[in-house]
Amino acid sequence: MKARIKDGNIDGRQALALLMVATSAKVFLLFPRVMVNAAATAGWLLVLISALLAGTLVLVLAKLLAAMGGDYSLEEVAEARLGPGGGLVAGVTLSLLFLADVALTARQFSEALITAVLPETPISVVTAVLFLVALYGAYLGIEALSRVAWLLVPWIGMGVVLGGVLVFPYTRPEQIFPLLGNGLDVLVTRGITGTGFFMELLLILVIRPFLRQPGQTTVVALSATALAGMAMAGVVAQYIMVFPVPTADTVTFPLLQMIRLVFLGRFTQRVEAAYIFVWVITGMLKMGIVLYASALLLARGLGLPVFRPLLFALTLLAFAVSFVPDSMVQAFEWDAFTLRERGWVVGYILPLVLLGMALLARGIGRKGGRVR
Amino acid sequence: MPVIEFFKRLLTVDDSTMQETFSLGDRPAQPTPGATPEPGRKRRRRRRAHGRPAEGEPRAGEPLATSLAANRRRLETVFNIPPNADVVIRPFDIGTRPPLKAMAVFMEGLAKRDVINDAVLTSLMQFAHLDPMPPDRTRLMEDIALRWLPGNEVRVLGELPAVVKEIVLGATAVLVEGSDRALIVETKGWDYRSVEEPQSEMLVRGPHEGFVENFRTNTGLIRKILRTERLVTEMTTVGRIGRSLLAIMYVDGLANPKLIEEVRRRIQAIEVDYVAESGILEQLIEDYPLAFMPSVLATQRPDRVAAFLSEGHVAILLDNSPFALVVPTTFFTLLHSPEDHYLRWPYGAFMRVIRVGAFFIAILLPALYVAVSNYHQEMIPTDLMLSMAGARELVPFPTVVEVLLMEGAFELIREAGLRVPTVIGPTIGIVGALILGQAAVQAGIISPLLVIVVALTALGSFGIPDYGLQFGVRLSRFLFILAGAVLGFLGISAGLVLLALHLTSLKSFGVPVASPRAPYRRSQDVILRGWVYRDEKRPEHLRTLESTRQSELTRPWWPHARVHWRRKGRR
Amino acid sequence: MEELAWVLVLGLDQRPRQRVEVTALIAIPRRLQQDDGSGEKPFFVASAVGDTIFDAMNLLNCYVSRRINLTHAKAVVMGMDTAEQGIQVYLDGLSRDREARRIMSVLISHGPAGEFIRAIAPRIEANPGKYMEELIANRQFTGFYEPSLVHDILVAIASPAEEPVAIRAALSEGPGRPGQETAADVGAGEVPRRGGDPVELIGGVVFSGDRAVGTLTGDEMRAVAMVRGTFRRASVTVPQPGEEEGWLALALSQRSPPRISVDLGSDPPRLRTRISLEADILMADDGFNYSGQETIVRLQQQAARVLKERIEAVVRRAQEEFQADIFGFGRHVQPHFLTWPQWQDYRWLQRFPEAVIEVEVNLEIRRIGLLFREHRPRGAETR
Repeated sequence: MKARIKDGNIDGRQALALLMVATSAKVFLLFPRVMVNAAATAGWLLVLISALLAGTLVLVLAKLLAAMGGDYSLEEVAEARLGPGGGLVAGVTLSLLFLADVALTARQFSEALITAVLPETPISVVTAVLFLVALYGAYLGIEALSRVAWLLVPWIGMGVVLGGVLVFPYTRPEQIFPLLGNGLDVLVTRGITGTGFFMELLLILVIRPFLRQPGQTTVVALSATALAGMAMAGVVAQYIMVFPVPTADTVTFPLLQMIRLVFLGRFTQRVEAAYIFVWVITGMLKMGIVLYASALLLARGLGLPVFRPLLFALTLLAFAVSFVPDSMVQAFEWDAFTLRERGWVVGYILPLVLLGMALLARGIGRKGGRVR
Repeated sequence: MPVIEFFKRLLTVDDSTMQETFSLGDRPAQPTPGATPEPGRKRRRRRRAHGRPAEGEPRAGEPLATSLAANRRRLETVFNIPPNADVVIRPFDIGTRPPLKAMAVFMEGLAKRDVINDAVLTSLMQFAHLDPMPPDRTRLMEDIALRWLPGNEVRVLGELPAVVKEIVLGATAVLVEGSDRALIVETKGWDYRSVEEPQSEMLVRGPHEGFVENFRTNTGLIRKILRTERLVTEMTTVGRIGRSLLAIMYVDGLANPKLIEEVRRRIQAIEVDYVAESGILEQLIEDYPLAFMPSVLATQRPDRVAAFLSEGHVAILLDNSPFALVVPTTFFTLLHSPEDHYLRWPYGAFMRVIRVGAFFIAILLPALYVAVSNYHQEMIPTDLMLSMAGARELVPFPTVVEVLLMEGAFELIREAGLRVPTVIGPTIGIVGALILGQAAVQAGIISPLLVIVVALTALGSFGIPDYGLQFGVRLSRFLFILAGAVLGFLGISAGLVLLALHLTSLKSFGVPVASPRAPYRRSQDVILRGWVYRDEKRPEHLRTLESTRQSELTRPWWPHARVHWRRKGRR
Repeated sequence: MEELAWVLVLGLDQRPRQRVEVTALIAIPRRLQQDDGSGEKPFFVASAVGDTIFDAMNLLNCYVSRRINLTHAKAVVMGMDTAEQGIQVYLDGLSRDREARRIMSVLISHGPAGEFIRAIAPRIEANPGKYMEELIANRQFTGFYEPSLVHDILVAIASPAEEPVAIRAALSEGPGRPGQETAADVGAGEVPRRGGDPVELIGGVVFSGDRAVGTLTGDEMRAVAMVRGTFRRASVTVPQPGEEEGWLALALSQRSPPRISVDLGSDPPRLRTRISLEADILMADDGFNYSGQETIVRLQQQAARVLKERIEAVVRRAQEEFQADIFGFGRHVQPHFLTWPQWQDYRWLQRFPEAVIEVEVNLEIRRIGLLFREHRPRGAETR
């Protein structure tokens, strides 16, 4: 019997906060613009549709996993049912997917920081700082990460809501009309590919063994989808109400630009620097969480008893990958169009196939109905 | 090389990385075959870590001799007499016929002289003849104790090491010719400071008593508040040479037994010559010696300790220390003051909020100032920005140097203020700060706004109630200043996340220090305190044996309370 | 921060060969901090011609010792000539830059922007940036111009639903406007006045796309604001009812946002605008007995009628003269479509000139101030 990787216990709310941070950190980057670009005035509806689809997929996956019994994670099940090969495929593929997510997130946050507030600082320094914090978080493990996420999610939420309140004078509700944006067909097709933007929800399948009550997996996954989906849709809707559609498509960092608009008299304006706290903290946390998941997946996929020694190598790798895109624009394209709009195939379909095979293998392999 | 050690540790897989540290709230571990049961690993046989046993040191279990002279010789070697003059050996005759030879042994200065005179010597020498000699020589000592010794606490001991220990603690040993046992008469008594107002935790409302150096006074002060038979004081000693008395206090049937056991385990593991102060004890038993915040709360207030005990904490008292240690401690407790609860809810809650503000000001304000003036000038309202820029025209230093200079100067004033005699201390502090700030501004070395920033920061750091946390805040403030100077708000955000991660990863005696917020545990006493009359549950993170501490209907005569009560489905 | 030159007002003028002259009003913090008694202004104006704005800013640093920084700029001024050539390229350039802000106000000056900025000499304020800010914020109680932040202009330039209007600025010439109806029916540069700062802001510059196509007066801008729903409060005068000449001054404010109903079924589209206003009486030349509700109603009707005429006149100008939907009627048309392509294909801005727009003004006088009845001179009771 091989030792399972142990790393503390978290409860449902912490897991929820973890998933919410990991999923919705991208609203601070290009995400709202991508949604507007795809669906025009219906960008917020597109987010909801994608969230709904992603939620359904994750629900199916979680149910499948629960059907296996025990508190095992996706790769552990794959390994137990399909042999080391199954674990390897699941672990390594998802690990690389998340690693790419970390790298591109880091790059985009760095570019945003440099564009917005620190024009003179070399990008390597900014990225290195982000990675150092993420590494520390990932090294401390799931307990610290999830607790900080749980502590900060309300504050991040309040920051975003406050931002919305501060730009209230610019808000014009009629700008979310026409209701269907670029049309129903676009909403459906882009809604499917848009599930890639919710790929971080798969984390729940990875951290499942650490839940105090593994039975909460489904509830946590669903509430995370609902909350993150609604929060992101809310932000996109607010963005469209402030920046009407043709203009909304012109902005690089929508939320940042929105905060730059704050102008409530001579005293309350130019507050976007204070807003750095909100989005950078979210970004760092998200990076830490996803980096952690990536290391965990790789360790499990390779059958290692611990994951921490992998962290340093993975961080370095992600750091290097984050500099592969030649420009800010290429980083955006890779994230929005390659990782997300195509990556969902890998992110959701592969686990589905693996779990499906595992379920069949149980019928044949009669290992007593329980994994291991 | 500690640096290399640090990096080696990062790459090592050990207990801490495997998350096998003690945790109160853990699910009971699945017993795995072949694994050692809790507490995990076999403790190594205790061996003397250093030095050889001193010559004449009593062997464990060594019996007393029957002959008085032999016992006297043995005691003289043990206590090094001569030259040691502190131990008094007083031979006397017990006034029976024929007289029985005996001697009293006690430690000068630790034993009360009048008690020895009245309760031991007078009674044995003079009153013994009023009573005929006991017929049964085998029960000699018990008879003496029963009939002639009026001392309030008398025990009979037969082993030399135990007798020596009692003498060292201040008891008087009476040895009698022909008996291989000794009578230990409680005569402890020495000079100590009387109970005064605690210097470090003053408040307006609430008792003004503070702990003193005398151990028994301290336990008495606590017991005076919690008059319950369930309050247990477990006594032990620490230190091979010092043998300081140490008490573990808890309310039986309330504090988690796992917690009590963990406290015992850590205290038993202490193997040092002597523990001078509770501050050293704290360092010997705390979880993370390098952490940002102390994981043990030190307080001078008996009422505070009593409140903690009644919540299910464990208190540790050490002889000669006017501080009690309370474990486990969470981060939020360090921002609390007993007065928060003594005052009515709005006032107490207001003080709490102010204190949280003080914490953030103390830790962040100078860093924010540096970051804003170096990187984020657009944030400042134009008028203020222009006047700041105007004021800084003549200042020759960059902002960060300016801030570090002033903060350094302030730390200096603070340290110097402690050293100068009490009479002029406060004057030096205030005058020094004022004059220094004023002169520095006039000399054009720093800008006037900075004086405000530094003063506010100082006020903020004094607003933090816990002395240990104050230091943590002051030290990390400098790190934040550097982070703000190098990377602006990005640096500060990074620092904040690092700090949050650090805090949430800490544990104090098995309880995460960020409880009850992260992980979330039911508790009414975090930043805002609960209503006194609705505070029915003990903090969940302490995993107490009894979770309810007061009736759910505390103010039955109050219509509002009854409505609330009914809404909760009660009758 | 003491190493930067803070630009408070920025001026842009087009020069031949697509070059641009940048005029910067730069603060001197030392003089703002304490008056050195020299009597000199706490700011100076510098300008340079460059291929682009940023090129010109670098050239400025040939003779300005500190680095030019735009983060605290309050307004960007562009000459009318420049505005007629198109302002999108400048505004895009500024909004791509992290220092310049979308909350700067856009002013279109009658002459070159450089001259306008050089003439700025605030009397009350020491800080010219604050002066500009306050002057622009005065619209809250004058209503002479609409908010025209870089953001507003950029949004309107690209929007299929509206056209931008910028603040009209000029140096004072003071002749009045031929054919003006009320005193406020003038544009910048035309206000009859004496003394004070030579610059003045009143009226609006109408754009079609990013090119200026015409100007509006202060009173006209108030009408525009009432339709847009951005009208805050202003004292508006209308001729008093009856035969005799005289003025009725009202402190006017918008009671609720204008309700605009759209009928797309007919061709051309019909829009019905209902504007609800509230007013306090400030003054009436002729001594009416305000205390009677009858009189109040009479005044109400008069004011509503006059305002309706004014608004209709501006709508007509916008439709016929500028062919630009500066009122943002399109915003109310937009929700009647289901998808964005449908709405775009409708080409509202092309249809606007033909649209039938009905205006309805509902005005109610609420308060009469501290004077219940006028002081009738003896012997005038007969009125």
